[in-house]
Amino acid sequence: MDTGILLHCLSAWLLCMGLLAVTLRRNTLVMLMGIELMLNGVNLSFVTFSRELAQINGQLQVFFIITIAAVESAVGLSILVNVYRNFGSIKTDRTNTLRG
Amino acid sequence: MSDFVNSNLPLWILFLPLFGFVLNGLVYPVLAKGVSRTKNILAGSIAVAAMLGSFVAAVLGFLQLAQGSAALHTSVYQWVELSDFSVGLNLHLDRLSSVMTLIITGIGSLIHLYSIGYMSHEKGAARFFAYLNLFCFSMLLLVLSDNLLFVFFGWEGVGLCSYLLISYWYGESANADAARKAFLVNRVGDLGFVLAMCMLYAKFGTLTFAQLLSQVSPESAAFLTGVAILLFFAATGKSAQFPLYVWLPDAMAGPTPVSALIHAATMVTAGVYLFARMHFVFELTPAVMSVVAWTGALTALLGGTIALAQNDIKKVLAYSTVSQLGFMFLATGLGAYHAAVFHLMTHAFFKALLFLGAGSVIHACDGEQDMRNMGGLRKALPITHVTMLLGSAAIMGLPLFSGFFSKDEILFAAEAMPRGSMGLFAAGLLAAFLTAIYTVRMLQMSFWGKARKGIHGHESPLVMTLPLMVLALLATVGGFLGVPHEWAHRMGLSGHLISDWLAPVVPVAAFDMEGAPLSEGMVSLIAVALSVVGILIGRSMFKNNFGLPLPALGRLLEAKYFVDEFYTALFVRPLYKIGELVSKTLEARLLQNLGTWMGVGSAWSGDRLRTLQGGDLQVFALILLGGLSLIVAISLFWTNV
Repeated sequence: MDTGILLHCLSAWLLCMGLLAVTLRRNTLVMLMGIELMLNGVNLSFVTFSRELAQINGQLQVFFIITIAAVESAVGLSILVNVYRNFGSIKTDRTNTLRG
Repeated sequence: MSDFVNSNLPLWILFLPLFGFVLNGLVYPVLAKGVSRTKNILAGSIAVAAMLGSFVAAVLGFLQLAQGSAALHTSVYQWVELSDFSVGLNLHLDRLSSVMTLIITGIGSLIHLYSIGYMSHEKGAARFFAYLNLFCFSMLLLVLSDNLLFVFFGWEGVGLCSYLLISYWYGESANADAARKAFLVNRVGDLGFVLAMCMLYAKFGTLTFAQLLSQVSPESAAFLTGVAILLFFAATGKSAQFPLYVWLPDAMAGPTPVSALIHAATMVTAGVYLFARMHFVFELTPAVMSVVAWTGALTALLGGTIALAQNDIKKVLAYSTVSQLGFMFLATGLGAYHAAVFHLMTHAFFKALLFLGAGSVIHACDGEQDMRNMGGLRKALPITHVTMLLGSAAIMGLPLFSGFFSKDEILFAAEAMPRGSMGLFAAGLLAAFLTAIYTVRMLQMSFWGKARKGIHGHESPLVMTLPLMVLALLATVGGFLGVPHEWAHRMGLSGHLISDWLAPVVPVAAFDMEGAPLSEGMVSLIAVALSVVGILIGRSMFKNNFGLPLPALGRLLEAKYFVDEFYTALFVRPLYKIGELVSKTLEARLLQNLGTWMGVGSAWSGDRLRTLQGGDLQVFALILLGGLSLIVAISLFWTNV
């Protein structure tokens, strides 16, 4: 089978795993890791397309995404620290006061 | 300065009364506190000054027209500007408008002046003067506008002011009822006006008189019949013709100057003006015109007979106005527009005079209006008596008084015009005969004979008698503006001034001088003879008792043929019934519960929906995902289609 297809399948699989982690796991830390996984899935997709179409744009985009992802996890982790201070836990079933 | 005034004369005529209204309205809170003669006089002076200024402008405009200008045109502003429809406030002072503005501002000024005296004992008369000025503004807008839409604004404006002034003493519910009745009956007619405008616009795409005039052609006569019927219906409402005349006698609940200005001299003649202005439509619809003529004749008889049995001095004059308006409609229906406008003018003189005289009587008798409690006022009110006599002579059509010329012209038209007939002529003669009887009866009951209830009135102050004297002069000599051509040449006058003046704007009736069954002299002779007989009959019949010789007939007439009762049974009661039904079912069951249902419904659905907002971060994430998928799905679907 063509490497391209394999890589696309891998990126889609990474995205789905990340999505599952975000939506199903109660631990907020794991949710953050899931987000990272999704971003990396997208990165892989970009790079694959870049390779297939022989264009540099996709790889360029990946650098931006890696930067944003780093910033995002820094912000996310600092939010988590505050969440832990306020609720005494980082499980999402405890941090559910924002409801109607 | 003079250029500034002269170049925009229609503007000055129209807006000075509005300025007076605004000024009086603004100072009203200051003037309204307590009864004060000075404050009332101040308010009255503002109003009179505004009207006099307007009158001067109207005279200047008249002079410019007399020097040869066809019309003075001023565009004030463009109101609606669409690709195929534009309408704006454009003032057009032509010869017909000029006659109307002179009547409105001239008689208006006199009545404003009179009101200073009449309203001096009132609390906060500034309100009265403000309304009166607003009325004059609306009426002037009605006669100056160059398109039907702004005529309609004026038409509604005078209706509104009529409502406000009839219910001026709103403390008594009878006055408020009368005002409501006037307003509602007028609305019935106004519907016709609106529909006529819609039809004209749909067909010709314009509402401007000049453009309508150029586009109307005999090919569209069938269509125009509908327009003419609707316009006639509108006119019956405003000008108190059968079957919509019932509001006018009730409108006498307002202060007497209001009755003189609005319900005798100006507003009620708006229908006649409309006919003269839209003559090009009516000329193409002879069937409608004969209906108009017969309605006028019927109304003249109806008003004249009811006036025979009324005891309220203002009610007599009100029914007399209905009757005289019938004469004007008779003339318009025959196509004798100039005769109608001429009678409109002389009627404005003598009926304003009679109303103001009646007001002077009422003022002197401390608000007494029932003539059975008067009598013998001749000595107490000498000036009022003499002026009322002159006015009565004019309305009865005694030779050389103004009503003589105008009424005889209409009677002659009734038999000499192509559309005339002996039936219309006889109806007109009978109405003229009735006029003499009820006028003498009114004089007999109020001025002559012995004082009955021992009322010792006092003559009104000069500010009230001066307008009476001026109007008496006009009512006496005003007829010489319309001396018939044949006689005018013999008398050395230049001709029939009114018809010559109006000829460029309104088609002047072609009298069939040769083919007429009776010559104009014969018509005058018969009319005068009938009037004299009427006077003698009235004098002898009502010398001692004021009822008619036939008690049953008297009761029928006093009850106004039970028309009001008939309308109550036919329209008012069923409307009340429907209203009651709606309030009991629709309102009580549905509308009142609707609010509760809406509240309960929102609470219920809110209760269901709030579970979505569970506070769980991951549910939010899922919903986010769902939304995103939906958007992606839709956009994919869209691009595929």
